[in-house]
Amino acid sequence: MELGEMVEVKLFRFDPTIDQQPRYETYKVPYQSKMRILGALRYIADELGVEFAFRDYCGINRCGCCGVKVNGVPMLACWEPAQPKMVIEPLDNFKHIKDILVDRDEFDAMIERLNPRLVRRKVYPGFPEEITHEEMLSTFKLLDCIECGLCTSACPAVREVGLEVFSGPAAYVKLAMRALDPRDEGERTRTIVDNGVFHCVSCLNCTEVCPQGIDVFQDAIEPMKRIAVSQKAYKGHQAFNAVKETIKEYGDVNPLVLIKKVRGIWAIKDLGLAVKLGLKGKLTISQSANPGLSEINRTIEATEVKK
Amino acid sequence: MRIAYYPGCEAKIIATEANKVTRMVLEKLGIELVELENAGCCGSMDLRLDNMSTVLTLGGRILALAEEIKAYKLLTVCNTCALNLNTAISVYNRDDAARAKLNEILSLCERRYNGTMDVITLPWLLIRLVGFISMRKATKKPLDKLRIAPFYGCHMIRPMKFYGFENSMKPSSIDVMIREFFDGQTLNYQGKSSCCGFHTLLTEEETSTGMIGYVIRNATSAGADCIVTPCAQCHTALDTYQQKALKEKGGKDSEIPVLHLSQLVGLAMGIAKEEMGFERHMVSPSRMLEGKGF
Amino acid sequence: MRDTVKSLEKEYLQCDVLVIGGGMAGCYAGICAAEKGLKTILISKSLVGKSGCSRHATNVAGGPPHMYLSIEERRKLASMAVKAGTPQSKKEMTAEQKEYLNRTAAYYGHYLVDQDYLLDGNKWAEQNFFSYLESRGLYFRRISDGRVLSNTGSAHSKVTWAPRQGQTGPQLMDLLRHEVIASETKVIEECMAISLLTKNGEVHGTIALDMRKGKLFIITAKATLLCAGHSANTATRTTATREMYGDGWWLAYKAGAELANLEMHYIHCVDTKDPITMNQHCYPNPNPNTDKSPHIVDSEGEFIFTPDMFKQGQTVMYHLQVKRVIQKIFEGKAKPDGGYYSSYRHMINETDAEYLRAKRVFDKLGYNIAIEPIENALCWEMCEGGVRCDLKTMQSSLPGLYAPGSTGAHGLSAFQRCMYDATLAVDHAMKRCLEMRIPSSDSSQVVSEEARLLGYLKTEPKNGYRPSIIQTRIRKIIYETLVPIKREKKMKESLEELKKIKDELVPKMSLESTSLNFNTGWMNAIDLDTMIGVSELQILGSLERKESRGPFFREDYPYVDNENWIVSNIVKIVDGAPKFYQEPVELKYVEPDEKGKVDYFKVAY
Repeated sequence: MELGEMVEVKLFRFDPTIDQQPRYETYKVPYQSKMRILGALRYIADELGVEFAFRDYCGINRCGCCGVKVNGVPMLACWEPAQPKMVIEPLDNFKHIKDILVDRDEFDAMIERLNPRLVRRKVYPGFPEEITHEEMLSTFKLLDCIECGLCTSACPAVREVGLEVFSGPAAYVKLAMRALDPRDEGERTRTIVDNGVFHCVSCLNCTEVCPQGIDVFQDAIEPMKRIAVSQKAYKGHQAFNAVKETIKEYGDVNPLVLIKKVRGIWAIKDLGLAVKLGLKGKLTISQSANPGLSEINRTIEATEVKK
Repeated sequence: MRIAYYPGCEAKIIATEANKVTRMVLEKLGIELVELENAGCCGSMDLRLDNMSTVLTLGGRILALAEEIKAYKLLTVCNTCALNLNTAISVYNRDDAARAKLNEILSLCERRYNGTMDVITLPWLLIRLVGFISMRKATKKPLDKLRIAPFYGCHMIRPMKFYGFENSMKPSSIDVMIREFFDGQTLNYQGKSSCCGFHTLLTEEETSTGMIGYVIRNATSAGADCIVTPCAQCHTALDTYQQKALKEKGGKDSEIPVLHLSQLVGLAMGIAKEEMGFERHMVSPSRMLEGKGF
Repeated sequence: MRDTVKSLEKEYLQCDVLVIGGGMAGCYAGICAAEKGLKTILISKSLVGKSGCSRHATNVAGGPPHMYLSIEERRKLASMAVKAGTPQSKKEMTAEQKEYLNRTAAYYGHYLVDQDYLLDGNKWAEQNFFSYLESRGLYFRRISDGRVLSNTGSAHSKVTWAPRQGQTGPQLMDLLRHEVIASETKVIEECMAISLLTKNGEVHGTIALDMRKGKLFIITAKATLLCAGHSANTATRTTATREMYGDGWWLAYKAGAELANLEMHYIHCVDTKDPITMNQHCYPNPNPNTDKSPHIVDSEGEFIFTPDMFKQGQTVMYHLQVKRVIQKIFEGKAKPDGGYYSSYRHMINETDAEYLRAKRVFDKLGYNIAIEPIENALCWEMCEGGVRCDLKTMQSSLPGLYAPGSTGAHGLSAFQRCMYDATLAVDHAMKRCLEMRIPSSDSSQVVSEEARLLGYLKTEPKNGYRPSIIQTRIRKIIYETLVPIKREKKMKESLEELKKIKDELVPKMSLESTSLNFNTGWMNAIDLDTMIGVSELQILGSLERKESRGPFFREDYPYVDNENWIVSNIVKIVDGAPKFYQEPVELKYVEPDEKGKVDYFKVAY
């Protein structure tokens, strides 16, 4: 955009204590050099005197409190550039307070629930303790997290099951920061499973919206799932092992063989679906091995030795 | 142009109609498709939780197989295969030390990966490799009567660091393709770039069916005649589990047929709908298509 | 339309210690008070730990020198000598202490800061600050041999960070946030203190407004700790977070406490000009992988400031930068809000986002630093002045009121000193709590404050002034008047303008709605009262100090006056108006070489 052009903002306004229903107010804001969405919002507040509710502290992607949904995508108002036309709405998956202000209490409570504090059982040896950067690398990748909540807002699993069941990606980033910290001696496995991370469907929204560039899925969520799976702490862990067993047996994965392995006798529940699939010719109960099976097995063995 | 073809387990075993139609369509477009028959499973999301390095190594092997047949690129019709193979590419194509370690293992099977392979998905093959002019020429039956809701599937658009060819939260390649190549109408609806929930079907089925229901209902209320997806796993979720998903929240939500992208392209290219394998869908598209003149 | 709100819901709370503010000083005070078993309430205008200058903290300086040795080297050293305590006399000072005082009392504090306080605070910090934070899990970045990563300065000018240069605040403050929330301290967020409760010259707590429900908390406390930061958001360009208007000072001033040196307001010189919402500092401190620093040039490309212009041992060159930029402004080669630049062209390979957060910001903003320099502007930063306190107890001139951290007048604040101040305040507060009963609350104060607040809560007149627009005007006035060159004529004119705003615009203010649910306009009106009051005090203080010193430059008094002005410039409310008087500062260990008046531009302090 250029100086002299106007940015059009459609701002969501709704005060549930006095308004019957939400409305959108349209404002035109003159574009300023390198303007962020926050620049437009501050213009509307400071120059036009519009009194919308919003949290705005640092302006520089440090406090994590200015999250909004812009044209359907969650982002930090201070960090992202102003777009020529913007519909600015409150974040999803957070309870709404007013206008574009959302309630962070439940979100904060989830972080607390996962206990983001370092647990030391050995006596702290004094500053500086003997650690190297290599040992801290897994944690280090997560230290940019400012608890902005965009990942949790973008998460469809949180949308489906609610924060009570799945605490959301952000809470798991804070947990992973400690669980992957070599100095941490807390019991983390139960926490990992009980807070619903296995509802995560791996859609990668969290990674995409993180304003700090943290790969939330690969560097926090998956490592936490791995801990639980390796300790067989999750009721569905057989599913993950079953995939490997099936690959070792056949090379490819026959989903129906998989269901049988995972569900065992409970596969009966899906009998109706199975019959329908069978009628459509989708049910292949027998499976022939992939011609590359022995190579595949040799490859798997080699990686397991290296593990 | 020779393209290595890696259909993935879902298209090989369950959604075989996608497998068949993809071949038909690309053959018609003059592309030499060579299937990597001894490739084997990429590990899906599940094996990643068991041992990520196994997934990467298996991926490296598949990339090596594609290199061996001197393919230009490797085509997948399953987004998760694309994700795993792209993860392997991000590790092995630029990092010589990592690739050397991979080749130590691959040498046990007398194979070697030289770091030159790329993965492509069907929309991008059609847009970039076949191109506008050829696709317009190949269009025999425009889709202008169809109101289509594209469903991209997460692992084809995210993460940006692997793909970067379209906005990972607001993708547009399939929309553009349908409109520009085939004159079809595409709709915006909530859930277009959302998740089908495939990967928790075995372990947290209700979460999956909740996601499936979200996509279906939003597409239907936006007025779509059908959903189209480039991913075999997404198709299984949205089609096979559709009735279950709609039943869960009660109400009388209507069903909507889900097409594989290859089937939609095939229809536009004039291939008869009887050859599409629609009888294998749980929600049949046949009646809807008849009504639109197909 | 709603009926006019006739009264506000009230909730009465009692406690031993009330902490106002959730930044570094406030959080740590809340943690310490809880640990001591004191019944503690912490109220915060914003979300605890998420705002204030604490959140912006970029580096931590100082620390025990052995932290920069490798694990091997540290093991070889027999034992770490504990730093000597406060020396009795100048003769007893160690070389390290002298060097430290030259850096802090002289350079940073321009000889206005208590030197015993600095030494005690530094000693405490060396022993406690790093170990406390690391024991709780903060990761001070290491390299592969276990050395703590830092910039390339000498041992005493080293800074370090967690995890990178320019990004220490968020991790550190989130850690403290989790600690204070997990403690026994009751935390109430989005709750702004409105007026301190006073009786017989003592402070007994506060009246506060719950921003989400529009109700009043009346909190009676035996000890009240003001940890509310300072006032930088009264200027257009600022490094402060948005809610900072000097609330703590205004509360203390209205209650009758002494404040001092409000005019000694730091200025950041090399922050990005565009966009105005995002002030990224172009750090002059060398980064770990280089000893190069960005070049600061004027509009004609001449150097304003190069790294060799600072003496060995100084970590930050803020005052020198201010002086040079002011000179360039006089020469017409820079402006307060632009026209001069930071350039990275000579060090593009060494400007790595891995170590330097600023690089990530430059990339996001689309600055191609390999080709173009970045336009800079002056920003208001922290203030060295504030509420005057006894530096052994942090108690202000009003018993029961404490001001640890940057709310106090103890000099330029730093993380370490915020924590040190908090421990002093809590220790003394504990003594006070043990000696007294919970005071009774004075309902007349509540009645008058409620009336004042309700007076703002109106939608009439229909075409009234919106408080936010008046706030914008004041920010402009302060920026033009005080940043960076003060002129008597302009200051007097601005005082007139503020008076006019008070007398003519404020009575005609009205809001969009009278909703009690997070009413932004209402809070703006309350903040406006603070802004006007604090702005007046800062301009009056600037008029009072007839010299230049450190970041404070008066065009009409362009010299440092070490004969008359090594003083605390104190202000207190007397009969409803500010009264100024001065008290000399003791130069216990270090003093300036220049005894009389000296050209402001010729000294480093």
